[in-house]
Amino acid sequence: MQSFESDSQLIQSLQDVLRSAIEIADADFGNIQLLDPETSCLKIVVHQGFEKEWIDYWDRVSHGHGVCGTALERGERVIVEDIKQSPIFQGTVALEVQRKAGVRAVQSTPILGRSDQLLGMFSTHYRHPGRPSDRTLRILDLFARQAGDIIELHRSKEALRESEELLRRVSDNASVGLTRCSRDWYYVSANPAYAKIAGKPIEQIVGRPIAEVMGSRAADTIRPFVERVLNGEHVSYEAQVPFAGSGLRYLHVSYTPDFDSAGRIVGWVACVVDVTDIAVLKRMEDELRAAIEVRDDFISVASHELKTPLTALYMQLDLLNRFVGTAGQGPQSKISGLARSAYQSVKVFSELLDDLLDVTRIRVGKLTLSLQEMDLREAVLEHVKFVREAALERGSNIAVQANEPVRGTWDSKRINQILSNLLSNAIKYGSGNPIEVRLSTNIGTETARIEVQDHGIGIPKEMQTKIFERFQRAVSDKTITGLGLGLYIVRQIVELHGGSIAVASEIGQGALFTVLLPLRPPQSQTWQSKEVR
Amino acid sequence: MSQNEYDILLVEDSIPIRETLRLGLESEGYSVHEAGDGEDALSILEKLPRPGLIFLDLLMPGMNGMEFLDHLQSHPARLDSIPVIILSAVAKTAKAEYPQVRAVLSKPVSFDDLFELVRRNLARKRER
Repeated sequence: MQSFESDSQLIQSLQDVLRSAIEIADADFGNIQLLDPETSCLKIVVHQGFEKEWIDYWDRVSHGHGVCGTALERGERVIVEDIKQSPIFQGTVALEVQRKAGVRAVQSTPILGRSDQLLGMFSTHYRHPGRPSDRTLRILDLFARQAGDIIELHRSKEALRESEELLRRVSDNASVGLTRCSRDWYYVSANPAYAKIAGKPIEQIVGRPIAEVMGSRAADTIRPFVERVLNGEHVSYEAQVPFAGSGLRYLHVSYTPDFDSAGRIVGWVACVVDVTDIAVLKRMEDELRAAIEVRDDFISVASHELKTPLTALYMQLDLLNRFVGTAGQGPQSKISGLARSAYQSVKVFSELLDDLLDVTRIRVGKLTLSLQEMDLREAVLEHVKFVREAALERGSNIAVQANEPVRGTWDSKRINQILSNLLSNAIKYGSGNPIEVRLSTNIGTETARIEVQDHGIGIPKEMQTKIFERFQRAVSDKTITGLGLGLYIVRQIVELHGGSIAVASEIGQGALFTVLLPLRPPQSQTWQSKEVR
Repeated sequence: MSQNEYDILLVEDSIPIRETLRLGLESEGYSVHEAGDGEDALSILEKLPRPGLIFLDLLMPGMNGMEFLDHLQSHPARLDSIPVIILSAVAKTAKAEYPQVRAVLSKPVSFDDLFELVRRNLARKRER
């Protein structure tokens, strides 16, 4: 209500209505009240002919008070021909107020809106008792209707102004660029976010030709989309737009046609999201991925290229060893010693290279199994026999607990790889303490269980999952060699067999690796053993 | 053994590996012919008497090991009865599809294993 009273335009219009009505209806005084929907009170907004004292008394009127309050209560016009005779005023202070002002007769007509809702009250007052003629009452009806129209028009203008204000606030604070353009390619409006995208202040955008603001190359980029929106289509697109003011921007844009009241398309409204930063991040991510791919490809190609000469060297040294033999003395024994040592070095080299090749196969999903019936106990005993000497050199004795054959379908070469990795780790990190290898079968779950336990330096908690990833080693000790690929490959092999691997360890207490392998690998894995190409 | 008879056909594109294999096998008294790829090998098989064993590399330029095995299988001269040992850098098995494949060795291979396999698989006993 406050805004109504303060609105001079509304008051002026209602004042004009009241003045005309008093004049035409031969009234002596009059006022117009507006209904406050919150308090249901009538509040005087304009008046004519009254002293301040009277206005103060009648400033706010509620149901049933006075003539206007009675009309408010009844929802219809009330006429009091003589207030001295009217039960409305009998024994009230109001009677004295009216008498002092010189009021004897009153009519109050409700002001209704277009949908018949009560907006206020239109009252005229007379110094002499009597009833206005029917003609006068009809004229008063017209004035009341006019007052209603004025109030409603004002209110809808006010609502429009408020929604425009809201829209402006939203537009000003939006992170999305918003702009309205005319069909002859001028900016009608633009918000700060759009100005930021365009790289120019709003004053240099609004009212200017689009091609001048964004540059002709940018305008050419958006032209096909603008043509579509000007044909009445809603258009959404993503584009790289080369703004004259801000350079190349990656945008998500949507256009909506802008119609005039006659339904003609006069332009379009654009909603523009700048995703340049996201696009740049995405490109960096793509580049990183590509770089990783290049690295992996390089490892793959390099390993394959190294493999052939290394194979020749390995076999040449193997043959050399056979030719030289172990016997002999003097220079002959030196040669045989060197040949043996060279052979061992190349063997280690070859194993490292095989690990690298396995990693590249795993990456492209080409690590395959060659399945066959085998006895795991035999493989374990064989392998322990093979490494026993190396373990003893470090002071570790290997105790095997494998009471029964464990028959199943596995890739024997890959099983050896698992055993070789776990045992060489146990020897490497076992601090020369005894190592235990246990093998058992869980009949219920049809699973073989291999345990390799050392009592060495142990693995910190935070490393216990990392050690199964690529290029990770539990210790950064430079004296312990390796690529950090062994356990990663072991896990891949175990999982390819449908099994699992876990580690339990405390610092300084050693580590227990447990491998569970199904006796028969799941069906999905077996096809790979048949793959030949 | 006639002039042209021999024990082993080596099919391998890498010359150093092929020469090393030949040196090793000859040191054990076997007679060897060499081929640089599958096509070479086929023409040797067509010209000369059959060997007792074929050593076959898989990854070769020209006709590779698998294509060579396919040719043996469809060859009118029943060349697929000659035992084959695959020597490959890629650990894959061809056993399932080619019955004449006796073993798949991944490179590098030790001569101990190699000689053992030759002793077991050479089709014809050597006449010394």
